[in-house]
Amino acid sequence: MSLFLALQSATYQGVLWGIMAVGVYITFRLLDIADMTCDGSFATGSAVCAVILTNHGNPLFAVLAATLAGALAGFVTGLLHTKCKIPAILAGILAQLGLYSINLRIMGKSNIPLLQTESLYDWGPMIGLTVSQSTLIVGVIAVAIVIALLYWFFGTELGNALRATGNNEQMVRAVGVNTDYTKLLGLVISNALIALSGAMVGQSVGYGDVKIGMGAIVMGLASIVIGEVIFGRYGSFLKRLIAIIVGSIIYRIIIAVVIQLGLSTDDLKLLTAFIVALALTIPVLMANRKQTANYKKLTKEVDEKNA
Amino acid sequence: MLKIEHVSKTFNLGTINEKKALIDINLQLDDGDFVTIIGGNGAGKSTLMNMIAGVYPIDCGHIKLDDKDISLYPEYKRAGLIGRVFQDPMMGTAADMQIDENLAMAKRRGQKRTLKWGIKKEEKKLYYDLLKTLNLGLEERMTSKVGLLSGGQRQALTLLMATVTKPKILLLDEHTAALDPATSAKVLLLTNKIVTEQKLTAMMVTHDMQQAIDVGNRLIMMYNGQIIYDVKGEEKKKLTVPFLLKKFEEASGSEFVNDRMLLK
Repeated sequence: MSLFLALQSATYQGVLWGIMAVGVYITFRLLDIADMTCDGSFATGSAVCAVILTNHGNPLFAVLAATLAGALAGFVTGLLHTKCKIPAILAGILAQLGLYSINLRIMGKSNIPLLQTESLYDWGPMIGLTVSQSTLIVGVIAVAIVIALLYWFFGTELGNALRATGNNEQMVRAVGVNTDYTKLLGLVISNALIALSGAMVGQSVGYGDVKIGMGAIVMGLASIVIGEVIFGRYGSFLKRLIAIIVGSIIYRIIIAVVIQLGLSTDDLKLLTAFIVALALTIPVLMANRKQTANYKKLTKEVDEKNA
Repeated sequence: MLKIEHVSKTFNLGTINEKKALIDINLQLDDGDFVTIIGGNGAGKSTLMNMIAGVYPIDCGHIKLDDKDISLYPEYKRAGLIGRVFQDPMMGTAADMQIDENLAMAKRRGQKRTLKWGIKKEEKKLYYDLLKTLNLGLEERMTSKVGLLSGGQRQALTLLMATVTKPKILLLDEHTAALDPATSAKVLLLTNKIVTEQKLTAMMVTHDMQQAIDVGNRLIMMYNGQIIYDVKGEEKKKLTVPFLLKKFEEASGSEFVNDRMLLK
């Protein structure tokens, strides 16, 4: 029974963290940038949200404010990368480092418990649902809104230019688009989503913490690659976004199962790193095996024919 | 009309690798001129193209298009006036995006990108008709990813993209060099057709001397960052490959004619 409960909680956590993974997807796959701001902006989301909630702010307002704060963090990384010409990975690391202090400043301490405050998920017990269920419902609604907005945006002129930027910058400039602007915009949208996720996760786990975002980018990557291993890399945009959310849920389920099996939570980060490495390796190994098998089969046919 | 006045460019200025790529270039193109540019490796042909397109800033001088001084415009801002096709067929298109999406992005060259739909319904008809003129069957594959196309197909598509909105000038930087001879001939034919039909002003870098003679109404030979020969109209029609080679040897003095110049 405890496994069932764990799976239920893994599902809604996967949905909430999935929004963060979608944010990572925008930079990692669409812009072809590994944006390290992620860990910092996720914590910024939880920090802003926690401060607003402890000051009796509205939970929805707290989430929106957190989203804006994340957008600002992405904007800073974007400026460092495009205007100061700092390599994207380093720009992200600098932003992440700076955000650690900023997040401490926002909260005034390293952890704010949110047990007495309102949250987006409170309504469940009032109408006879569990908090897990109401969290899942709110999470699914948020994911649906995010996916709908992204689907629309990436179909617009501006969205097309952004997608093309990760593909071929030279071409994008040749058709008259400032690639600095598209990269900046991508980083802003990505980190806004990451902070949004941070705020929703913070309300769910019941605290805002300066370290809550640690390893977030790797978890985001884990969700993306698990989604890709299962659904393939070449589906439509909508299918790929859904694959990431499913990937995120599966990732959480894997974590829940291994903890049930007795793994210490201290070892979780190692396990996550292992899962990502494995998920990235599997497609390569499979392609190699397929290639070799194909070679053996075809060569055998040729040899037999010419024998 | 393109006017280039006293444009110079030195790469790695003040270092041991200093390379004078363009030296005091002066050039005026009239509307409808189709100029072919020849010269050995390192003559400055591609640099000249990149300077016009704004890939790197020039050291000094003026580049004017239609009497607008664009010398300090960044690349993306000049793109509104300039259509380009690159040597590498992969360079001109976005591989993970559909054929029609690529064309739609090119159609908006020089326009502000907004939150309107990236591709409108009525455009698709236009792209269908345009692709049909290529005779490659691409009009039936408009939603295929460009990455699935061959180099020749991608280059033909890039050519359409560069001209779907009429550019003030079309820059072709050895755009047939990476293609096999048959495909290369096809793309060249298409180039000629588009430039003539739309009465474009165009510059084409090539290593194929016969091609340089056959195509266009004007020919420019470059050597060591300078224009050493500029011929137009009737006089150009009379050119022969041996004459051009001789001209080149005169300019380069004792140096041997570069292998690539001799191809064909």
